Amino acid sequence: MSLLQTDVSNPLGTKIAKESTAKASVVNQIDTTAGTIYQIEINNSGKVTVFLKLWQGTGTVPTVGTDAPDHIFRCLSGKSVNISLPGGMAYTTALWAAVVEGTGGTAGTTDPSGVVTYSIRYTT
Amino acid sequence: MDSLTGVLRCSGVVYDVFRGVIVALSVATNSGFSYKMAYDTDLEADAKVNIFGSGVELHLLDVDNAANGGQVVYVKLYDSSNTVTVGQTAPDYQFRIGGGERLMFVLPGGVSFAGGLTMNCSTTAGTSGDITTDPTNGVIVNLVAK
Repeated sequence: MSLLQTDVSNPLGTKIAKESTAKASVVNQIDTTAGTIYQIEINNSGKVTVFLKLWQGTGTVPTVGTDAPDHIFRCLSGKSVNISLPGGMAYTTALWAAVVEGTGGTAGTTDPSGVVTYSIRYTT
Repeated sequence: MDSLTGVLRCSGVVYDVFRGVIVALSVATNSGFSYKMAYDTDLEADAKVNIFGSGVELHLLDVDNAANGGQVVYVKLYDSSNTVTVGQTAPDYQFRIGGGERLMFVLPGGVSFAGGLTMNCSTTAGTSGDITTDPTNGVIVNLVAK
């Protein structure tokens, strides 16, 4: 796992959080406070579908497979997904992220078998 | 419609709206270009199945939850041409919309719903959700796909 956070001079997202080896077993705390998301990108070079799951509104680490995510984004094998939010999407308290292989919805605790990366552009 | 925009097929729904008839879901296709549009004035917990009638690539989702000032809702999308079991079928995509919010999700490269796009709106996040528990007021959803 390698989480890199960089300040950028773009008013529609002053920070970028980038995970180069996303996992289900490691939940990244993207932000510790309230903020706004402007863009999400997922790249799945593996051979199995994965799901980026986001949780917000809690200062406690969510339990992957048990706590219902607030957002779920599927990324098929060998594909990338880019989601732009022109008006921003607000979150409260904190923002957490994990990537689960094979299972959408709430369940699923399997780490991706291939390399999955994601980046989230946000303002806090 | 005429030759300016090709033949607009929307099963008379816009016609009905102009006359004040509220219909929940309308789908429009246009022979002049490849995009399809769907408009739901009141997406509820019960799923709308395969709304475009075939596999599509979704490019835009616009959800207006302005009518529910204090109620968070979750729009859930399923890659399925069949009825999903609300509360048991895991959504492939889920979007949280805060109370009173309107959010637009733009997907420049599109995301595939090869089996068909099925959707519902719940007050419960994740796979859970009661088919009989609708948002208090109408949640408006616009989709653009091809």
